[in-house]
Parts: sequence; C-alpha cells; structure tokens
Amino acid sequence: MTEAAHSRLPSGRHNLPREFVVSSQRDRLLDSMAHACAEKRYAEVSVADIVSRARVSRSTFYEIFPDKEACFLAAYDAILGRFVTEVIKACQAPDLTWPEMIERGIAASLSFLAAEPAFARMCIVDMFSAGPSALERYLSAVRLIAAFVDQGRQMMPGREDVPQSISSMAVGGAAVVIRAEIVDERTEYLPEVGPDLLYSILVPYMEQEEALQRSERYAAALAADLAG
Amino acid sequence: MSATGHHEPSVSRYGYDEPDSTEPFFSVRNNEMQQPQEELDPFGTGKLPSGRHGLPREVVVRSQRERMVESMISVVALKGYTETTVADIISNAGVSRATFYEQFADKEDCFIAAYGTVMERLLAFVAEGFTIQTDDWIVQIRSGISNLLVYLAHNPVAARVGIVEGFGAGARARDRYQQAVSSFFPFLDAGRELTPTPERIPGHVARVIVGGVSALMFNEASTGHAEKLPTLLPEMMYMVVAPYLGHERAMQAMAETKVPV
Repeated sequence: MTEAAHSRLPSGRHNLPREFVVSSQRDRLLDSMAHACAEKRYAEVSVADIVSRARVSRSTFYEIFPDKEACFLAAYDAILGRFVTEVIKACQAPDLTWPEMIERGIAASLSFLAAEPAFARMCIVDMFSAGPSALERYLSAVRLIAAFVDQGRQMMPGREDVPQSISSMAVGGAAVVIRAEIVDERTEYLPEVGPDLLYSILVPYMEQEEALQRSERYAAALAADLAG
Repeated sequence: MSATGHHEPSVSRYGYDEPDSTEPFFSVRNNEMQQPQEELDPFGTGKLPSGRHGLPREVVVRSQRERMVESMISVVALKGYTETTVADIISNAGVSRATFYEQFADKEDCFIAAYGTVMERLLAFVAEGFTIQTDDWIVQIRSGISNLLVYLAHNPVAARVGIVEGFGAGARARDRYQQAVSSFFPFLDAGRELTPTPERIPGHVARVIVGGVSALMFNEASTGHAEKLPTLLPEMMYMVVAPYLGHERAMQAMAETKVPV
C-alpha cells in the first residue's frame, strides 16, 4: 500500500524544491518566488510577496536582482539543471532503442513535474506571461526536446520523409496537454498522461499498430503500479 | 467528393478573394448597431457625434464598448499586452477614463473582451471550413485549417492578438483559449471512426494536435511572419492525420494539400 502510494505520488511533492536549500538570502528569494508562483499567477506576484516570505528586505532583493523577472528566471534556471540531468539520466541507460528512450524521457519528465508542482507551474504555465526572456527560454527548451524527437527520422526505418516540423508540433502539443493538467490542478497525476503523449510522439515514426501497442503496454504498466 | 483534385475550387468557394464573405468579420456589429451608426457617422470615424443627440443610452454604451474593444485589439497588436496601458486604450478609443471603468473592471477585463472578439472571428472561419458539405473527413479538416491560416495571413492583427498575446495574458485568457479550442475536438476526433478500433486511439490525441498546430502558428505569428502561415498547411495536415490514420495516410494527405492563397 505504501509502495503503491509512493509510485503514484512521488515523495517530496509537498516539500520545498530540494534545489533551494535555504542557506542564503538569494536561495530564500528563489524559493519564495517558486512558492509564490505555485500559489498565484506570475503577473499577480509582487516583489513585496517575495521578500516577506523570504524574510529579506526589499533593498536586499534589489541588491541581488534588478527586478521580479530576473528573480523568476534565476529560480527557473536553478531547478532546470536538475530536471535536465534527471531526464537525460533516464534516457541514457545502455542498449535502449530510440522509442524506449522517448518513453523513459516522457516518464521521467512527468514524474519530475508531478513531484515539483512549483517548478511545473513556472516552466509550463508562467513562462508565457513572464516576459520575452522567459518565453525564449521556454521555446528553446521545446526546440531542444523536438530536436531529440526528430532523430526518429534517422533512427526508424523508412521515416526520412516525415516533415521536420512534426517533432516540434508533437512536443508543443504534449506541452499543451501538460499545461491543461496543471491548470486543472491535476499536477500530481501528470504521469497518467504519459501513454497518450508517447503515442502522439511515436506515431509518425513507426507503424500505427506498433505505436498503439507501446502506448498500451505503458498504460498497463502504470495501472499495475497503481494497483501495487 | 474525393480528397483529390478539388483544391482550387474549394479554396475559392470559401471566398478568400471575395470581399463579401470576409467583410462581416471585419466589422462585426449587430443589426441594431448598424443602423444608427451609418446615419449618424457620415465621416466613418466610428465615433458617435458628441453633445446632445438623443440616442438611447444603451446605444451609446455599446458604441463606446466596441470602440474600446477594437482599440484594445489594435494597441495590443502593436505594443503587446504587457506594455499596453488603459491610457492607450482610452486615447485611441476617444473615451474618458471614467467611461472605461464604467464598463471594464481593469485592463485584463477589457483584454478578455477583445480576445473573445478575435477568437470568435477565428472560430467562425474554422467552423465554416469544417462544416463544408462532404463526407470526406480529410477535406473537412483541410478546409477548416486552411480558412484559419488564410484569415490570419491577411489579418496580422488578429494573428498577433489571438495566437500570440492570448498566451501571456493570464488565467482568464487561457481559459477562454481552452474553451475555444476544445470546440474543435469533436471535428478532429471524427477521424477515430475511420479506424478499425476507434477506442484504441488515446484520448488526448485531439488536444495534442490542436496544441501542436497552435504551437507552429505561434512560432510564425510571434516572429511577425503571419503571412507565411498558409505555407504550413501541408505539414499541419500530416500532424492531424497521422495520429488517427497513421504515417502513410498522413503522407498522402500532405502530398494532396496545396498551399492556399
């Protein structure tokens, strides 16, 4: 029972993001920003909110960051590194085929976001409203993942002719599904959309039946985990 | 009607080059408005005459509201939502600050009205395309997306506000967007019925498709290249068809799709 609960709701989701060890004023401000963004939308978060939670003076805030946006981006960058490291680690087990890497990558990404709701909201929801630098960071993350997905054209037989923009559409569309779950306050259940995302991303690069079967096996494994 | 050989007629039938059919979307005004507006506005400024004109109050209020909404649309397209101020809106619309706050709680409230207006125009074009008389699903989908892309290419302001700015303007705009795009899901999901086992196609496929197509539109519209949007139609057709009917049929749909003008 505890194991089932563990696999469904990864530990640490109610804790502070681990990256933000509260050791310095800067870290406290980053932590405070992430929490504020989890509670209300970025546009409504004020520097006053951030400094009062962090127990740091307003003048100290402005010594460290020029403005709210800089603090937001610093908080995002602080945790992004750990996210990327975990996803890459999941994808790079030896002898994985390309579709297996995609599946591992999706599963690792969704688990991470489910475990870090503040970060999930920042990178998938608030990045759109936090100014041009944030948007550019979001778009470059999508481009990076899309470039990885696009390798399917070389990795899979007879798929050189899949249009190049398909990978960015599939990844952008997957992000929309994730965003809808977060906005509906279903962040902790994000791993459950994995099989649908896997199918949508794989289907251009293989026979439809194979993509269906891979998605169904993934869904069955998730259901088995849930049942303990 | 087959999926092949009807691209030219189908494009011109939607009337992109016929001013009559596109006109109503540029000046969406309901019938009660049209009448007094034409009589009282000989110079076409969009503004009612000032001073005593004996017009019913609701006519005045509605005219002001429309001007503020249209003003929001054009200012946001120019400066972006974040940089837009209430001062911009009222000076552009020729109304007082008091009038603005009589009708809108704040800048966001007015933007939601503006965004809603733009989205209604976009949706009307897509819906008109999707409901074309044919039982060929691919032809329906193509005509819906084609309508949208051609409209946006000719209306960069609508592209900027509807496709780009709506994303960054907060939760209410996002809800409006979600609501708008989810009305497309049934049209897309009709593709399920063309497969031997409709229930095996995962449930989130329509959302991935709409999100993916929107993401591609966002990329072009956000860099100010709305006029290039129609060139993306063939790839978008692949994106729509592949999850339902697989790679080969998607390649075929892409090959059969011409770039609309």
